[in-house]
Amino acid sequence: MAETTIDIRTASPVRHAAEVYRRSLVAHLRSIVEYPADFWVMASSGALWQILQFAFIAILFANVSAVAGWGYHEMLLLIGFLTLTGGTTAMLCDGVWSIGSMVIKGEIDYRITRPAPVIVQVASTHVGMQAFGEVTLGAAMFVYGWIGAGLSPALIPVALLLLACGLVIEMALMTAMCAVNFWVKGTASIFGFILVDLQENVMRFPLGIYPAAVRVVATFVVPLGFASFVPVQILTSRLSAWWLIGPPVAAAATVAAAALVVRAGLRSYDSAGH
Amino acid sequence: MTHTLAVDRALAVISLKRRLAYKANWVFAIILGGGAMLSGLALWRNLLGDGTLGGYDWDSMRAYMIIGFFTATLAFGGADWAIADRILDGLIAVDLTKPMDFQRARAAEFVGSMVSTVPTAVVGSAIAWLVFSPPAPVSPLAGALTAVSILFIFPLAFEITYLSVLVCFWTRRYLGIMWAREAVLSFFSGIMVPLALMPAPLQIAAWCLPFPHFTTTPSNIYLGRVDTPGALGLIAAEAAWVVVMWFAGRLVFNHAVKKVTVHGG
Amino acid sequence: MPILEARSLSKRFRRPDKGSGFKGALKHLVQRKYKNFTAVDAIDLSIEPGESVAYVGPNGAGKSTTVKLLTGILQPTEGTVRVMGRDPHTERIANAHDIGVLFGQRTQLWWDLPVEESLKLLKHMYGVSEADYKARIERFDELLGLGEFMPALARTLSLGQRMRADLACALIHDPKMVYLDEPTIGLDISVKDRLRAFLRQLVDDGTTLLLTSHDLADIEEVCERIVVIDEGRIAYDGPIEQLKAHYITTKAVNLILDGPADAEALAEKFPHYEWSAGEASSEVTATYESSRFTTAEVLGDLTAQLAPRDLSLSEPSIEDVIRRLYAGELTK
Repeated sequence: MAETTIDIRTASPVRHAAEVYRRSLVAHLRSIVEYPADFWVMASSGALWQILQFAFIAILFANVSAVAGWGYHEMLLLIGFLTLTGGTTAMLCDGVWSIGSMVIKGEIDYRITRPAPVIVQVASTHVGMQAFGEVTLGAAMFVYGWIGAGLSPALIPVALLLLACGLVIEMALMTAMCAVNFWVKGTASIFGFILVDLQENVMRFPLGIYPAAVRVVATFVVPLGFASFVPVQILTSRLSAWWLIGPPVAAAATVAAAALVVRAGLRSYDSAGH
Repeated sequence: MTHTLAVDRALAVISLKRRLAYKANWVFAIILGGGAMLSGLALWRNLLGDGTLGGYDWDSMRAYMIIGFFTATLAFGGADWAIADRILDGLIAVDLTKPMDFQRARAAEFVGSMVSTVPTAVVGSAIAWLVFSPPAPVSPLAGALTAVSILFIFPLAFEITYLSVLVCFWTRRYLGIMWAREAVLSFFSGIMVPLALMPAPLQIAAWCLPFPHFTTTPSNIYLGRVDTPGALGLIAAEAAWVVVMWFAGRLVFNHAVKKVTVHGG
Repeated sequence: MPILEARSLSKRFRRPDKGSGFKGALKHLVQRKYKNFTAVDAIDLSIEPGESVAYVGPNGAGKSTTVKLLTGILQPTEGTVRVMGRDPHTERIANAHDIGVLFGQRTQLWWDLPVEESLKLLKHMYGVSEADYKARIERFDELLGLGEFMPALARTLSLGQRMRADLACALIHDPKMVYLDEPTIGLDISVKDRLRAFLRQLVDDGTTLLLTSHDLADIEEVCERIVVIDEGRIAYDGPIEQLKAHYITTKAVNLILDGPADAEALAEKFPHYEWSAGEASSEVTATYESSRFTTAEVLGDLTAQLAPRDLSLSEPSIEDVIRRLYAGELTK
């Protein structure tokens, strides 16, 4: 690998942060090779959850023909979409889960004394290895659903854009939820768990099965809807192309919200032990 | 061996108190378990309408989901990490020098921590009961037998957890093992989807495992999907699993300890 | 112009004043009562380039809080900090390039990665050129013996190895201002000696150093100036030699004799030392003024005449010095 060192006094801060982030993640990916057994246990357990999730959908559709008007392949598209964005989030910013323990142990200290954004340093301290199983199975369900639902290949660029927006929303919300631990002291990121649970238990079904209030909250208040349900509706032509504006706007809004939460959290950080 | 019932009780009480100290756990368990129950209810309301699926109509499905919430809260609420950390941190070496039966001590602690989830399970179920007014058990006897079958979840949950945690003797981390166990338990217990809806081979496979006793057995008894002899048979099966897995735990543990003591941890 | 300047620097922490248990938490929700706790109280500190300053005080005196204020980790409640003319909190990133920080109690190594990977990540973070990086690693290897554990995962290191690796991390970008908080805590003698030699070298090369430690030897061997802090305030600020001349005037030899030791009889025999009985009947301690006798003289004298079974030397600890500092009058 060619060693390129960018001159950080002249490079833009954003480029420098991206470089720091990339190098940290790559270093952690390389370290996986040290303990392959760990990797396989984690990746298999990630894959197992998704296999059973698929079995659940298959069993459901062996008994019914539609869920709130959604067919088998559309459901697979929805679940595949969720699994892809959720799994990629675990790959790209799993470090945010340790905000709680870093705050308690005062491990944010060093990161404040280094010339890179603190959240970038924190997010890249870990790679969720279960994600390799999840993303593989998620992609398989998504592609299978795509072909089964007869979606046109011309939609692929749109799908990529929507997946990217979904990923950004998921990462931003996860970061914001875990950053709550700047105030609520504890090693377990309870709010992070709640978000994951919402995604796995509530958002995997078409929102049509829920009362109207839940639909409104899940779409416009906590914009999880724009991270999976709305995009899949766009792809399956249940919503008009106008809705394409929604996911990027929601992505921008959640990133801004996450940035505010993290910034406020860092401001209130008082470092453990005096 | 000086391991007595008094020791077990003391360990269970300590573990229970430690759990109760974290008040956030209660709120957390209600939100997570309650959320899953509500989304499940929404799904089946939509799917069932006025019809039935696998012999469940909307009435019986409400009871099923509430029983599922109750049993899942117990089954997933034990302090599994406490056992795993003992093995991974090497504390087990100290445990082996104490005049205590490792498995019994861990069982007492685990059951103690499970007891801490009872208030969550009871309060959550009571609220759900008032809101969704599910049908009562088919008979008072069925109700009593349901309670008995739920009591068996305590030893069963410990033993399944214990057997899976023992894998930590061969791995460096527990998280992946925990997820795999939870996935299998959710699926084959019927918490995810009732076993009656599964294709026949899968149902047979499930009933060959201890997992259905976590949700399907209590709900089958409660809803009268099995008659009284059938209910007693299911409870007998639960008891058999408790005995078999207890000795399986001993077997695996002795094997694992030999690995540690012979080859050095 | 000073490289670091703090003016009437204060930090107060606000702690929720709540009763214990659930009831207390509920009450706190309604009443919102807080207690103020002043960790650092109007400190003035000015450090010139190239100085090596020891920052000492008893536990809880505010040492770590001061270091965190000076490094920009915490924002002061009152007062200002300037490091090379910058506010380290608001100009965090620019400041980060010029400072190096080590907290002895914690590591900045990436826990799951080999030491080498951590150093490389920092190299890129600070934008250190390949040539500089190589030269510095070579030097660290020579002085700290880094090479032997470069490929090891951080979590498998011994404490001494970890501390040496952390020191390399703190210095990889050749910072002008270095803060070391307890850099020798928990280390064994040989590693301590090695670290101190390294730090002396660092000071000789012109790096400005602020060091906190409980170990008097760290301070004596590495620093020229000492700042003593107690209860958040500076109690003494001046050359270390001066402090020693004033407050460390005695040393002691602890002896274990073959038979019972009679302190009074010994005091008659050796009137120029001060004698006190030890814990066991055969133990006795001779205290002497270090300005009058060298340790070698005292040892020679006592071993020749008493033939003790065993002996040990003791010096006043930094805590003793601070105690005496308060007992006597504060001089500067």
